[in-house]
Amino acid sequence: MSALVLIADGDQRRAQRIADACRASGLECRVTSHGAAALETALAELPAVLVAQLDLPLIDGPKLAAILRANPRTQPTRLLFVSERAEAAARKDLPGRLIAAPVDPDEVASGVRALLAERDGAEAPSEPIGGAGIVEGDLAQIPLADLLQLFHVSRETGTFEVSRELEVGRLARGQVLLRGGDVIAASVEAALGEKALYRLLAWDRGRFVFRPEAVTETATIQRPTRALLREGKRHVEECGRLAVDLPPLSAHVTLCIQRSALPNVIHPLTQEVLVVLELYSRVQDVIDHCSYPDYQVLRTLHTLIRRGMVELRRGPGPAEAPDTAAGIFAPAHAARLREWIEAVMPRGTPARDAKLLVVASDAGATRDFVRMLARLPGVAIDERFTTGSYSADDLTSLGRIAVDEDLGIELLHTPVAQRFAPLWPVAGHGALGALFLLSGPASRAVEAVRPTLEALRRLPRARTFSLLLLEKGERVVPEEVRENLSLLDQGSLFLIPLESSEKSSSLLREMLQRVLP
Amino acid sequence: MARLTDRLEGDAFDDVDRVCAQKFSRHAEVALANALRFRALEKRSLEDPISGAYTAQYFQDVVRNEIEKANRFGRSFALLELDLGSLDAALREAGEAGVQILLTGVAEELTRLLRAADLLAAGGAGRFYVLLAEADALGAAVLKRRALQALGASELFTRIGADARPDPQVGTAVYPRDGASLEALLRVLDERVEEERRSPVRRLGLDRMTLAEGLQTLLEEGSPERAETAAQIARFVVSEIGRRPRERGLLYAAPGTALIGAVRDGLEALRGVATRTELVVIADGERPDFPEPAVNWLSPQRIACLAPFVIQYGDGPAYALVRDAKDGAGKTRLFHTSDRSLVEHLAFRLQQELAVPSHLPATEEARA
Repeated sequence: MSALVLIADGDQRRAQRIADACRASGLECRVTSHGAAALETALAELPAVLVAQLDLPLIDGPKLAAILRANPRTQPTRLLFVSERAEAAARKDLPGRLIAAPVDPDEVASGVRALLAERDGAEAPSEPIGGAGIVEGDLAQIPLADLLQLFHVSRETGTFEVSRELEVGRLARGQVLLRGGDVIAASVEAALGEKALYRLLAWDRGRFVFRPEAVTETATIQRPTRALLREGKRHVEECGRLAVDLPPLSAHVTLCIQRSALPNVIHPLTQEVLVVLELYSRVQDVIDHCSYPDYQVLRTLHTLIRRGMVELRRGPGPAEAPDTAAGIFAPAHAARLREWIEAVMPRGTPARDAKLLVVASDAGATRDFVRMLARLPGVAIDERFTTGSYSADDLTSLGRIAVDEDLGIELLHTPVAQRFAPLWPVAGHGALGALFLLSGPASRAVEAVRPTLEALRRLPRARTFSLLLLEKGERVVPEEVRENLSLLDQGSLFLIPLESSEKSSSLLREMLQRVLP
Repeated sequence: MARLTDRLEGDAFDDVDRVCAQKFSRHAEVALANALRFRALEKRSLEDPISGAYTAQYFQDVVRNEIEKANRFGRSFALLELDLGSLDAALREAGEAGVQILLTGVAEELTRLLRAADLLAAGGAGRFYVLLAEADALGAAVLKRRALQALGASELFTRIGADARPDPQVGTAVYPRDGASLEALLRVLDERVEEERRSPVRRLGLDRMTLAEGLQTLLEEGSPERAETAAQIARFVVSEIGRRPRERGLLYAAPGTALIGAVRDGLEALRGVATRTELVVIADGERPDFPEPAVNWLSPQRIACLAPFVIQYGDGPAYALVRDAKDGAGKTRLFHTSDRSLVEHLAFRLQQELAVPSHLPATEEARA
């Protein structure tokens, strides 16, 4: 089908001559005599080119052009103005070429052809090849996101195949499946689903072909297409913005703290990145082997690097994990804690110590804990706890553990008796966590702290740690622990033998490191 | 209707103009009729036919969107549920038409209290939901009090016999503190409404008592404790404000001689902290000498008969402590609670009865 040309001219004879010249070039034409009719025809038939008289009756040429430009449907229409006034040739404010008097119909037809050629160049994808409905083009001319949006609006069903040369002789190929305009699946190399789609949306060069065909594959992408495109756009923009900060794909990354030093509550994305880091060190490999979108993995790596948990090496080869055993806390721990505290403080306010609740099943557990704690470096115990003059009902500071020069953890002794229940949510609010000290038979100790434990567990972002303090010769009865495991989270339960000061100190140190965010 | 006058060129309208105008008006008529029909249809599907408020389905869609927005921009918002309770007695007394008038009236009363950005929806069975955009716990509590006050005084209720009169309860929940999903927030709302029904405010009849009588009644519910325990708690509650200064709230302390030292110690820990909690201390002596945070220091003359107390209400957990006025280091009677509705009652009763000034706006300010 040839492109439609709309000729809007109050001079009907001139209009007919222009139409004849255009038809002689194989173009289809409509002729109208005033702006209102031209507008109506333009909206109904979406011409490729509008030839408008500058002084068109009812709605003049420039105004008509402005209306058409404002409407997304008629925005692509190319404009050509004609005027019987020779002085109009000097006008520079028109959104299209102007042919002033004397108006030669052949010159106008030639101008129309030039505009059509220009349009075809810019709209390469609309040029059919090979068969009906197949569209192909260059991603440099029209990004994949725009194509998907276009095909989403027109509810197309079919397959997009995209390809891009990564290096000489190596071509990466991807595929996006559309059903009724919705993106239902995507793949590129080993990546699938949303991850693949976001990667393809970031391609700024390459070729694409769309083939309208039945798509019977099972949908692996459920998110609405508009949301996908929005998210993809955000990934591309943020990747561009943070390009300097994000680790290069060719660099190598290595986990530089012990896994036992990791916090026990980790975002699934971070968890996956850490697992993949055990197997791969090249950033590109880590990205390829994570199921999350590339940008999210890069951001996570960036955060881990910034917090000192992962080391970045721009040269090849994995890095050795550095020794972080000096003191209770490594600088990376302090950095994480500072970040955690500063998140809730207004800018410019000095950071205050973090708070860790200490809840003991009985007075003996507090006493043993204080004795163990006092052996660790950077710990200051409150006087009433060193002298043993404290009460189980005290709500007061038990001591402080220095994390770095000016930041620490305040240990808050929290009463366990039921009549203090109203205090528990206030005490636990904004705390790093709660440390439950259990001594004696596990079942009896757990029973003593159960109400406090349950109340604190209900708080948002609650973290609880349990220390089962074992007297000399005391052994844990496995059944007893198992019975109480539903309450005492296995991942945060520490069995501390009081008889060995070296072992208890080491376990306590490990526990304290895990308490940090 | 379109009126065409004064042709731009100055000539009279001709036949072309008339044809053009007719054609335009025919198109415009059809477009306008379609638009109006569409709007009416859309509105009907979004509106509850009885109360005229939005439907629960629409409310849920909006809240889901709000969660996405709040998540992205790190903001909060509040939800409020008003439950009129069983309407069976009202139905027997006033009939179906009477209950319909009541529900429409309640919706109108609530709408009057809302800002343009808020959204009211009917949940069926005498329940209404409100979305308070960018509001926090305190903003929601203020609206809750106003709503209950407005409904209590409204003819809608007073013209129904006391036995058949609905018993409205309001629960509030704040995103993200009380839940990160719509379902979690709705669950919290239902729990809060139930808590309101079981609240000590109702059980002990505190809403019919003066603040002094109320505090005395609460003290009788308390238990004997060491004097030092009350002081430790008071010091802790006041000083904790400095740990999370971005949270908005109210702290009222009338320490008397028994708790003044502890409250002063707690305030000292706040020195230089720009907190968003409004601090009001009702005590003798000089206010702390630091400029920040500002402490509203009031004379105890205006509340001479009150037992020493500390009340904290806001974004964090709610807490109130009352102890007897007896001095000395021995045992003292202490009542404390984290029951949100009781603490809220005490805080607002204090404001209302003693005209304790509050400078906090009803909704959350933009976070720094």
